[in-house]
Amino acid sequence: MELEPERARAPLERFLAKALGADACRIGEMTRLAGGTVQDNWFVELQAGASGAPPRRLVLRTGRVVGVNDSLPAEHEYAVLCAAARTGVRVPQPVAVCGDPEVIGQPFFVMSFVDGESRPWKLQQTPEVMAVGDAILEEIGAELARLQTITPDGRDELGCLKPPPRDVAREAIADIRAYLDRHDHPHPAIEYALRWLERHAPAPGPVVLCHGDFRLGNVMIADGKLTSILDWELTRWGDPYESMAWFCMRFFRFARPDLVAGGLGSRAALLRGWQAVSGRVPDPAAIRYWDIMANTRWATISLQQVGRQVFGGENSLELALVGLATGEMELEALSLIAQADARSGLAQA
Amino acid sequence: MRDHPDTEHLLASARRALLEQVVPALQGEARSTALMLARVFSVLTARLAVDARALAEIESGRESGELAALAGLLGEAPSAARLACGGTHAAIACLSRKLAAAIRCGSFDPPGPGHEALLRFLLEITHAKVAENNPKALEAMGRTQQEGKT
Repeated sequence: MELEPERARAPLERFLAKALGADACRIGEMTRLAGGTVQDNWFVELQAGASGAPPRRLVLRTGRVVGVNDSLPAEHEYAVLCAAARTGVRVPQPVAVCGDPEVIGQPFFVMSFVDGESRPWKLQQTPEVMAVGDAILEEIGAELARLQTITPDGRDELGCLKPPPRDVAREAIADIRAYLDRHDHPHPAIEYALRWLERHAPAPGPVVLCHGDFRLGNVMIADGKLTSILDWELTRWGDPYESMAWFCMRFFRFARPDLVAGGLGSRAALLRGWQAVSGRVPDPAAIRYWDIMANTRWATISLQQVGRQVFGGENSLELALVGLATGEMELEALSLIAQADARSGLAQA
Repeated sequence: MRDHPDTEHLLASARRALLEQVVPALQGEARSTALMLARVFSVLTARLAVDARALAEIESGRESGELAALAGLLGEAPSAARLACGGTHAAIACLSRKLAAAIRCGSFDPPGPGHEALLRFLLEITHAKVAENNPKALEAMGRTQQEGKT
């Protein structure tokens, strides 16, 4: 069910007044924000309490009817956002959460509005941004390392997430295979990549909080600086290298495939920022492995997106076109595997 | 027999009209949607050409290239698979399923003899898929790989 702003306005004003401890709240502008095929975001201008105070600019976030299988409900995404904010990761400030679907027709949460640009094509067309691409990537790498200080130990507030996998790589392979088995079309190229990933799976390592969709389109940039990391609905426990690989995936480089890190700059810059905060020296073999995993996973997710379109009743041209890209990720995975094999062949020779 | 214009020509005219007359008049979400429609026309055009080639192959009495390659990898006779499955299309689906299962259980692991042939086949079908759906991505991949950036 889509949110109907005129109907939602009055109950939302009452809810926010209570949540913020204000006598009364009045909502001014309320407009839908672009982007998000999984979640719906609304800009809300809120006058809380005395009319003299400046209005607060907020974002209301709700789920759509048919979500991607792994997407978190609003209450759980809010818990993740709070954990990230407490750890000092740059995120929109969490304001309030409402799990009761009766209030505005579906569960939702509210956070602060963050100024800036997150659309990759727009960022890539902004010379001032591209000129400092590597500096922004260092900030992004540093934020990622900060996020990764959140581990499953003693994190009761994140008990809402699926339990941490004991073996991230092998469980990811099993999950993707289970998905393919529910899919009527066979995918030999994805199977080939999965078999390679299985044969080369690393020994289980530390498990950290993983944003789940860490890419340029989900970071907000203003005045040539990273202001916040957005869209936490796919957060899960994972491997530290997963997010870096996701960020560098060819598919997310858009008009600048030559700039490996998000079409913004170099992977070396992203790794520099990450190393400066984590104190860990990046492992090239792990980077190669998780690059292949990222492309394989994204190939499968793009199939899932078409599933939403073809079988889930969502008539969206955008989702249909996402599915057309499956072959691109398959081809990238095959070519990365060929490169990795050639490298190990050289090492053995 | 159909009169002119043929399907290819119709699609090309529709795409040109969309890009030259409709898109410049639009903004925001409507403009993005119109651009997505133009992309759909391109994909349809490419798919028509591929389907026409496949049909010509079958009409000439040859087995489809994809079916022959799949059968070769699995050590089966393409004609037998086609008869058993009730057609070329169904046989390709059926053998692809068998191939996927064989890959998963390790039958094509290197250094076995099938590995190189499998990799060539997978590259070929995946390449063909991207050529249909997004030829620009193919060009970009070739370019960055030549430059040694991954």
